[in-house]
Amino acid sequence: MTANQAADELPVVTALRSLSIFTADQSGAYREHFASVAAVLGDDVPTRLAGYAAQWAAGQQAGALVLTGNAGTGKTAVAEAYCRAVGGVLPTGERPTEVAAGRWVVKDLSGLAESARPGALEQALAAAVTGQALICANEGVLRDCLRGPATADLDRDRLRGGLDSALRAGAARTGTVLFANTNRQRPTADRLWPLLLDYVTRPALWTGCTGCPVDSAGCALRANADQLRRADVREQLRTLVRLGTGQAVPTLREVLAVLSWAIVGPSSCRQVKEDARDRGLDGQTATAGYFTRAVGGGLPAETVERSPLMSGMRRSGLGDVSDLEVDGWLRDSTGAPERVRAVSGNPDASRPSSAADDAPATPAGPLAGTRSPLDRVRVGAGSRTFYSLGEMVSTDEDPAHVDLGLRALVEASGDDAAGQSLWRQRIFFEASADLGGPGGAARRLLDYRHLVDLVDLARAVAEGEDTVLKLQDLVRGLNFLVTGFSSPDEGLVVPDPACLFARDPGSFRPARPSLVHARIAVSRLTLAVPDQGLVAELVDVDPVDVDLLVDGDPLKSLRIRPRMYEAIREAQQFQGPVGQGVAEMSDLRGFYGRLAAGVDRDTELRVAQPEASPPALLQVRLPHFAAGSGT
Amino acid sequence: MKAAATGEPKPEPLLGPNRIIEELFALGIDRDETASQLCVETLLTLSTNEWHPPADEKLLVSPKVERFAIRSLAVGVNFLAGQGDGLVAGGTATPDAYGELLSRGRAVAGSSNLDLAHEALLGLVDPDTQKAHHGNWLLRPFHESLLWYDARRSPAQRGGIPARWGVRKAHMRGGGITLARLLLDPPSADVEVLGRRAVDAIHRALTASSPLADISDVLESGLSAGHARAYPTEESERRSWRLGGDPRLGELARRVCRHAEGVMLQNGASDPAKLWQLRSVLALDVAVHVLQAAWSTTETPAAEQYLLLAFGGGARAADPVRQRSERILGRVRVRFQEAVVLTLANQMRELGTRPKPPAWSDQFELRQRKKLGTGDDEGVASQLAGLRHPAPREKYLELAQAAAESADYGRAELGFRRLLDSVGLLAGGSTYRYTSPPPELLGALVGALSARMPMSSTEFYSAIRDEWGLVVDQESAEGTDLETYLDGAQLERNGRRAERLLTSAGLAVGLSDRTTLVGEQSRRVDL
Repeated sequence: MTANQAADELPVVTALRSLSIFTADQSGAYREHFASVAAVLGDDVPTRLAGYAAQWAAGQQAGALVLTGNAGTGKTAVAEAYCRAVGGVLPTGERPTEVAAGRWVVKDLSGLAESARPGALEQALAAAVTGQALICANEGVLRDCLRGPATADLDRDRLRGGLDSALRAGAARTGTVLFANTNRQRPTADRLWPLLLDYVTRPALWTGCTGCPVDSAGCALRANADQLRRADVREQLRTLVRLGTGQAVPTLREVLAVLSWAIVGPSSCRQVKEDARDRGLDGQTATAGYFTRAVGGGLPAETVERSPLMSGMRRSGLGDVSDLEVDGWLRDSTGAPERVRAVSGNPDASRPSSAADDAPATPAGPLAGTRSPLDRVRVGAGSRTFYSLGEMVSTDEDPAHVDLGLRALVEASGDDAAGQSLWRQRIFFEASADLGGPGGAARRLLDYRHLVDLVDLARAVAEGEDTVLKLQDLVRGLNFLVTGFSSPDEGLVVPDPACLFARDPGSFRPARPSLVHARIAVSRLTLAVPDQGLVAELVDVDPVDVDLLVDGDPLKSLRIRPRMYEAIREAQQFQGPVGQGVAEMSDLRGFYGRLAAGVDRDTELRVAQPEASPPALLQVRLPHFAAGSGT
Repeated sequence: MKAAATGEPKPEPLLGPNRIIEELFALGIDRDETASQLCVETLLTLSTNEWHPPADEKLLVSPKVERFAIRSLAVGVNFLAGQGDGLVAGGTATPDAYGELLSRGRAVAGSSNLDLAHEALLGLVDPDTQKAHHGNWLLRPFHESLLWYDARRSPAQRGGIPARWGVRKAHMRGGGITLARLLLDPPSADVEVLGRRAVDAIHRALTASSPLADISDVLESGLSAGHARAYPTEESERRSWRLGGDPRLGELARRVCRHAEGVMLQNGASDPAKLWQLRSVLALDVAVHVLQAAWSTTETPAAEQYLLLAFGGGARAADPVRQRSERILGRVRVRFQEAVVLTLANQMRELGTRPKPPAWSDQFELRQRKKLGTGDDEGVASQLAGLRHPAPREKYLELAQAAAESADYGRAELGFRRLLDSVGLLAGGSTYRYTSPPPELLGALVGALSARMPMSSTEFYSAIRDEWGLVVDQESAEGTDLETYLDGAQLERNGRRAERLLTSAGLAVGLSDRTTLVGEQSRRVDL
């Protein structure tokens, strides 16, 4: 990068654009080309696992650290941190390499020919008897290498057991070999999340380029970075990323790509300046806002599909879910909370003291009160603040104006998103406190109304808090989902697995009675989070999912992810048709099938009768025929 | 098959649709036979033969099972109606009265809340069979004690003999008996082990402890031993069993054993879920077998031998993949017609060149004869009789075409469509039908391949191309004529949409390196 370019274009903008995987320029997203990005943004975000590897390297404890996980989950970055810590460099080849005296690294076992892998693994593990070896390999390759009987050099059975435990629990130690599953790393972990956000938004990176229009027309890129430094905005984004990562195995690379797209999109400083020069305040609008780009704004649907994380975030429905009060604030912000009025660009609202509030005194007319491009929406050939758009559709007496305003409000046009969607998205991020906090904002503006509650529940479980009441709610919801019978008084009702095929919780048709296989007392149920113990010490984890276990047996457990929790909570609260997915019913069928196979049947034949008032389990007595009678 | 006046079974017309279809596919297929009947007939055959192949074909036990007591309760129809003699239910009622009480869910011999059991069982009726009359309703194949054969009610007869229900061939046509043979005693020895493992797993799943089974067992025990009629094995049933040993079914046997084993031994699914997938997979395997036979008979170019799965849901006009899928289904219809004509022509020639040619008019089914003008000099049978055999191939083709156009030979293609329809593979209403699998069927495909799971979505598409000739994305379309009709980006988008469906159905997980891993849950745990 030349000095002239640096002056004309803020280096962080160039770097973030190359980190995005959504446009042609995505070189920085790949480790081989990461150096130029690192020169601007700094070294890798320090993960807990990289820290552990460096600490282990500094000690003299012999053994092996085997990192397993999907491509892109950061195994190479940990290896690089380890090499640095022992004063070596990451090997260029894949063979076992002694990077320092007695310190061996296998960068990627799958990079070797299939026939060479077992030998390489044996070599590295042999070196770990007296020294240290760090081995990176995905699960399939490791399994293949560990097939076959134990030999004098390699106790394959024991290692297979360790690998299996690590895949289930996230990490496991067998002898001196420590397995860590990098798939369990979550970008939203308490320690990692702020580091990731700081990595791309810290003030030192956003000082402004030569001729930056931030003081005149404003700069959407800097406004995005400013907002993403706010703790409340970060927490809201974290909720969406949690949802996205619940449905995919996320990589830091992909999280950074989504953040990069949210902040800079396809824009450059040059383009921002040209827009400001040519069109003034009309040049940039909320369409360039982080709040819409984070969920795929500005990208064609086919491009969003390529990112499992962004696709998952988009499934939150943010922008599509309506809330009467939030939509009403757009049309008339007079009685709205001060923060909402400020977000709308209401000229009478007091100016917040955030860093974003560095716009000059604003002009009269439809853009009066604007504080940054984030409060402007395109209306016809010009632009207006959210406040002015609301006034236009609510009070303007010219039907043509009203029509124009309504179009801008509800219809996307070209690159511009619908004003109403932009408004809901921005309110979700920047005025969550006025919606009842993060939980309230999720309940009101997301399709996943109970996501924040699930995170709270997972945290409570991880911290060992009392969750008996929550457990009862879960049982009530599950009972309704599978039998239409909503009481928790009989414990967890296990229907005959066949009867689950007659159940459609999404249907308005009342549930039919189900035959009961067994009832499990609530006292036999426990909640757990998947990532506990050793894995939490090694990897940045973030409890989002919850496991419901019967008798503490992992084989009789149900993994409750956001969508499943949504269905359970809706069933518990409304006891009517609930929106459930095929995947959830499939999971439930699997869970109850395992229970039916693993718990004793009730001695009496019972039917869960949803229409009984109150709902009840009724006994079915079968006919009793006298022996030997008949024709 | 109706018995002749002499008691000898009347020979099957050699040019009738049944015989031509058997000749063409080495398997019976009928337009009324859906996945439900095929599966239940297979399971009944396995069950009545105690999960092992009979030592001799003569020892084959018919799959005809009544289960009229539990059936009366489940369906709400008195299947014991007209049986007024004797006492059952512990000597408390006639069979007719017992059936009546059960069909109304009323108390019998100290029972209570049988109406609730009726409601629960009614929810388990296979929805695909509910379009027919009550005698053909089947429960989902979740337990051995809930399986029964098609029933018909015979009309009242003179002498005051009331109308009675009995089981008889209606929609079950013997295909299930052939499938049972393929599992128990496949013509290809290399899959015997897979077949045995599949049958053992099916046995375990169908006989697991269940309250449903308790109800069935108690109610059936109310009918005294020997009350239920024993149905002797018909010659046509033995013939269906024999067909299962035909070497031409070797590939179907390999597929059925492999897929049944895959479905039944997968991880993470309940027994009913596995059995429901088995129903889909058996039907799909049969459908693909008959399609491949049609392609082979008509020497269809390899580039045309596939079905295109469209994943969209948008407007038809804007979905070129869906439109292409429609056209491919249309092309399949033509191939079936051609295959039937070719087989009919070959059979005519073969009969004509026998030392003693048959009576041609007897070689068509009775109901065909009028349409084929057998009494008319211009009719097909008359022309065949007047022909000097062997005639030029074109002449046989001409007569076969005439016969196929005027009589009921379309049942092969209709049967194929019916099978696809009953597993949910056909979408698009009645006019613009195309192939698009619902999540349940995708689950069955994933389950059938459980021995190879997990795999990337690309490998999965490649596997379902190999196993069932189904094309999804650009890579699996290699070697087909799709390159001429669709551009690669459209197929890639189709592949991504399929990934999305797989993911939302819990059958796959999207990884951030842009691969989608299919079948993580169903894979076998072998460590």
